[in-house]
Amino acid sequence: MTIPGAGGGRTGDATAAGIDRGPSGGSLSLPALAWKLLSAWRRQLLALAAAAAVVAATVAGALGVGDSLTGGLERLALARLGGITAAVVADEPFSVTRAADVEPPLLPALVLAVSLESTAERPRTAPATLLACDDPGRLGFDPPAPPVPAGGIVINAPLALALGVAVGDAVVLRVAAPSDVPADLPLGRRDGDPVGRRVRVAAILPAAGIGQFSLRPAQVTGGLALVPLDVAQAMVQRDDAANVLFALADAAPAPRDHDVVTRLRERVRPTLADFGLTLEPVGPGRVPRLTSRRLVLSAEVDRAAAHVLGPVGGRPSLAFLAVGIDLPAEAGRPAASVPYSTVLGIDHTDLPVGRLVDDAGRALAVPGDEEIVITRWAADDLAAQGHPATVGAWLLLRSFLPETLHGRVAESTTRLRIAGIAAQAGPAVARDLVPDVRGVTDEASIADWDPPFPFDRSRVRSTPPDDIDDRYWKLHGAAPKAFVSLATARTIAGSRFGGTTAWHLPAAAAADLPRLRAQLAAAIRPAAMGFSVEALRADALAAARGSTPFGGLFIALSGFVVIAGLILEWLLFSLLVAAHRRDVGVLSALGWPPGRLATLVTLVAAPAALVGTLVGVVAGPLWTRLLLAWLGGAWDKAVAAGSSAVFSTAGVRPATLVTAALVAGLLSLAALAVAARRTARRDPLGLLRGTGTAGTGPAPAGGWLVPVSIGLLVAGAAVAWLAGRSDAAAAVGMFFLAGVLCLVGLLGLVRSRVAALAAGRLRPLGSLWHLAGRGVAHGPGRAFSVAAMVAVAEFLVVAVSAFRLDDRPATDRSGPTGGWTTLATFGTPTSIDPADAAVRGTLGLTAAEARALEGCEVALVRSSGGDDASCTNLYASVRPVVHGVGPAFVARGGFRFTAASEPVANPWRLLEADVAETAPLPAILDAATAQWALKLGGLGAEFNLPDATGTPVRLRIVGLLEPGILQGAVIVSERSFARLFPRGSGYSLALASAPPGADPAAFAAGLATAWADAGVALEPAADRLRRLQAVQNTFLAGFQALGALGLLLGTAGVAAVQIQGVVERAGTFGLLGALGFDRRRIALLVVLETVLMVSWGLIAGGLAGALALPRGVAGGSVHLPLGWLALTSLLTLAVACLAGWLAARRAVRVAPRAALAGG
Amino acid sequence: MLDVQGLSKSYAAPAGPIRVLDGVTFTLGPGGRLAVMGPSGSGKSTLLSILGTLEAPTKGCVTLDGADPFAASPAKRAAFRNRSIGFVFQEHHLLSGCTALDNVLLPVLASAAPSAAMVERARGLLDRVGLEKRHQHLPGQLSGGERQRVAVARALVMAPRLVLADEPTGQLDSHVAAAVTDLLVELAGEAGGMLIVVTHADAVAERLGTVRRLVDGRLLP
Repeated sequence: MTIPGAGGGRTGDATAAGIDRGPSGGSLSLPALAWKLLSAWRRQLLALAAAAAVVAATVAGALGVGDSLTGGLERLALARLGGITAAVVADEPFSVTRAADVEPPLLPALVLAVSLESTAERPRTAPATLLACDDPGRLGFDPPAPPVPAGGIVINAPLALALGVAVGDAVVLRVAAPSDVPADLPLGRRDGDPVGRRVRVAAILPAAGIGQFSLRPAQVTGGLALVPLDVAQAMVQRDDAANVLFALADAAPAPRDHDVVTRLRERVRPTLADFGLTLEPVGPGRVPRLTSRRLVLSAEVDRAAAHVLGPVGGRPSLAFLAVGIDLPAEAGRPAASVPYSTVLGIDHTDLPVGRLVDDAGRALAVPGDEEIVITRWAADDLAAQGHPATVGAWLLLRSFLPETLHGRVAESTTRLRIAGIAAQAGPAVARDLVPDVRGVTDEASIADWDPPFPFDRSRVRSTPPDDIDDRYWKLHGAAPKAFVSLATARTIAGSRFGGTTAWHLPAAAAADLPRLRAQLAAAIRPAAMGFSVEALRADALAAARGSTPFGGLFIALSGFVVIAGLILEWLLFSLLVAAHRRDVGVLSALGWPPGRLATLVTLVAAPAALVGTLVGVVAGPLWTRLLLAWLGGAWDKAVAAGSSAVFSTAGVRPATLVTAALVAGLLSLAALAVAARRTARRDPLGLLRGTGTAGTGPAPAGGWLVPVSIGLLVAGAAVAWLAGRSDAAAAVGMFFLAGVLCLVGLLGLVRSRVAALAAGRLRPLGSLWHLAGRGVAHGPGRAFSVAAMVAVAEFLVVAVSAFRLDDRPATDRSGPTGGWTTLATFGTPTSIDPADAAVRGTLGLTAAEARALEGCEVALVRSSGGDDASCTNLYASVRPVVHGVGPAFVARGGFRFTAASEPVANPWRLLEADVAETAPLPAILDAATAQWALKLGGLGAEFNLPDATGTPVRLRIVGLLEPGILQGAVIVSERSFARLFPRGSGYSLALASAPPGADPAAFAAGLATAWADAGVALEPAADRLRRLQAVQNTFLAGFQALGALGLLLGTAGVAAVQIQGVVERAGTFGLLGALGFDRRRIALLVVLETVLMVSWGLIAGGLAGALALPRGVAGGSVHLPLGWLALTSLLTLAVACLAGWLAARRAVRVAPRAALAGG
Repeated sequence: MLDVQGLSKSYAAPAGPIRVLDGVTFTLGPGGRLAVMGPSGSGKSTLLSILGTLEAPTKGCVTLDGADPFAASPAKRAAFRNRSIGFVFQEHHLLSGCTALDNVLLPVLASAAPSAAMVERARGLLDRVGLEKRHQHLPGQLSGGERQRVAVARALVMAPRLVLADEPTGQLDSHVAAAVTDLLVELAGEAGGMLIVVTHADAVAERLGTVRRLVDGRLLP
């Protein structure tokens, strides 16, 4: 049997009949079939590719932000160093000859914190960094600094702006007055006028090149001034001084940073002079003596001296000033006192200057713990006052506390028993036992003393005939009038700076001094003396990695956009299948196994996903630019003005783009593969007939779904109520749990509603809305997916909105400002306390300023000058700043704690708890700093912090503060601070609070006047708080915007859903047309369906967000920005209407006849 | 042999289940031919869908040479359908982007790339149905009758034991309809396969020989 017109014959005879069969052997394979289908499905695949491009662009863009920021931070940190790789840094100047010890030679410089003042009619003061070196061109900056003419100074643009000066203007450069003796010692200068020099601005550097020099990474360019080295040396009164030696990257090939640091540590060996030590023969007997410019020898020097000088007969001593050696009045005897006398602590009475003997020549023993040996002169003086001193009698030794507190010198009294009276010979007349103190020991007359401690001249008998004190002074100078044991002296006068003022060697050792000097210098660890080798470039690169993983953060922020994009791909894929359902159906009907069918469909869709991914990855850097432009603008405006240089966009690495392509491509392919699998399992008959969707049979209406959903809502509300009574950290997690419970419960009710519509158990059709409901019920699974996606997005937008932080009143002592109104940071440490009425009188305040300061509160805080670990610093904190708070601050309390290791009324007191020598030091941190910036964990966590020598010291978190103005620092007690940083003096930070009713402008002006010499920078506490909150609010704003974008993207997917629904219901729309529905009404029907699905989602998501928000969550006031939420919802509904309209266009084009015929 | 026992199919509806097939029972031996006729809505297409394993019965069972496809997993059922059943749809359902030869080879591709022998078989079938000059033509380039002939060749390429045709000539003129019917009978019988055709046309039913009527879901004797 043949078909008319057919060639006839049996199977296989076509070749014999000369019929062209086309390519022999057949060419149909799975990939070939996929290619053919791709060509036929290309219109829908283009849309799929667009969705994949969105996903890829979002991923690439977000990751690119991380790259760009890290790159920007790195570039900026390295740009600030120029060609500097490492440096030897000392906290005090040393001899510049050290620079020549290393090959290639280092570049010496003085880098000082200074202040400059303009000389305009209304002068302005600004702190700055002074870079003084002779050849700044060698530092490797581009462009290099111009030469500085004599009498000139070069400043950078930020400093010029702060001072309001231009080239040619005169400014006054001020450097802290050199003070060898630490200011925190009673004999240290605290009120010295800074050294000033009037110079002319020779050039203004841009904030680029050397104009942005900074030893530490900083996102904002601070003020910088350049002068020749000799100018700075003259100002610090040290001709050969430097405090920094720069190692430069001018060697070829450039050595690794590690090698440079190692070489510096090995080759740069400070001498005794660099350490401020002198080992010289002194006095008539040319007895070698080791003393320090700082008056006291540190524990490190003591250790080294014991090791080197002890074996050759060296003897330590501690000299201190007694305000009075007193015999109180007792029966028949008046009070007597020997004023302002030196007391020497010794551990041997056989000293190089002689032996301590009594009047009979008998050797005296070292006094015991509560004993004292006075000299004959002192004994005679007391006897002359009517109160003879006898061996065995008790006297009172009045002295200064070894360290000042907030610049105040206080006295203490020690009761000692007279163990002996030394003859006026040997040590009793050796003025060289006492180190030189400028202004004291170098004065010819005691009446000419200009001491830094409170000095009552009326007690000094310097006027003939009653001039016994002056006569002693002229005869014996500062020779001791009393001796105590070294241990007793250290108890009375030992400080964190040291417990020895001199080592005394036998005269015979004078011949061996060069060797002893070298040995002693070699035995002293430079790190313990303030010398350190800083791997500046390596530190900068480490810091540039940032404390916040911005790539991951922006991926998280963009997460919903990515998810929405993937869902859109899924929905577009469904549309693709709907448009070509018969092709898929016939393959299934022909017996294609689901797995193979899924593979085929995936092969068809995969090229679209991959092409879209590639396009998206190429477009990703554009998205990065947009994100960075937004972030940089917000950051520069609200957080750190002048930080825009960090947010440059030239830095996305190819590896990042490859990663983004892989991630996005895999995500898209996975989404498509899952969708293909679902498609392959669909009922072939339904596909062929074009009815229904897989697994979308109506769920049972009611049943268990409604009660379970209501139960979840109740549970969510309960968790939300509990969250309101929890601490901030727990409340965040509980909030999200409450939100998820409420959201799932509400979505369950939505599902139930959709199922009820599908089951047709609602009242008969009464309106177009009812008909729209029936249309939604046609695809209940799809309708629920759309509603769920919109609900999740809306929930996130509502939830995030509520975490925006509001300002609290600055006077709230329990709030984030602790009740402080002003923060002051000092260029040079100070001890001036303007809250002290006595001090205020010496500050040169105007009447208004003095009035404004009266009754103010000031807390002087020690600060280590490390890295700010607050969220405003984009750089990672390699060495976080440490603050040391004093007893007054602790007693005052304030701020709010989220957690404390003990339930005490004032957790600040936990800082002052006594801890064993080996136990961790207690520390308090801002919760955000502990958890996010330093990643230390929570309460009780222990961590290491490098002390001044770089040795790690263990600390333990005993309290966590609610985020506030103290964010970014590790806070310890002043006592702990002294253990960590013993060499520092003065206070670098202050918190101030204006008295009630004070004029804020006069208060600020008064503080500026009081601390002008310290180069103060004042910041209102409210501004600091705003900057900190701005960080969180900035990221939240980004999340909101991206969440809203994801919401809109998801809503765009509704168009795909609706078009698919129209395609599947072509017959329905044809029927409606045949029944007389006009195009407008059909279009309205489709739009109503869309609005219905999206509205369910908006209501569920919005309600879930609102139900879950307790008051006071996360440490910020919770408020729902209703305006923003309303705008977002309206915009979403508008896009939903647009999506519905797009689908409606298709619906109204259905020809009734063709649709009803099943075409 | 095809054995159908008590086959019933119902669909759920708000007002109660709608029974489309009610206890259909028959057998068909190797090489057997059956025409199923009946008014619209009598369940003819549903019967064919169940026999073609495209949907499952509510009650009853279907075995083909002793094998119950509905007892197998969906994947095994698809493989069974691919190897043992050939389906000619009323609307041919050719893939528009594939040539006539490709469309015939689709069932082969369900399990593996077509071998040369299978390609030659497909070519032969197209020749047998009179499309020797149309191997590389797309469906859009074929007439309605030619498309249906391609569908016939596709249904037979795997030499199925059971060939089902749902109104295969519904869109063809009588002359071509007769030719397509004869082709179906001839080719299906060549391999000893059974043929069941649902049709409204008496002429088609007569060519099959055995005619049963399906009325209200019941197969009349």
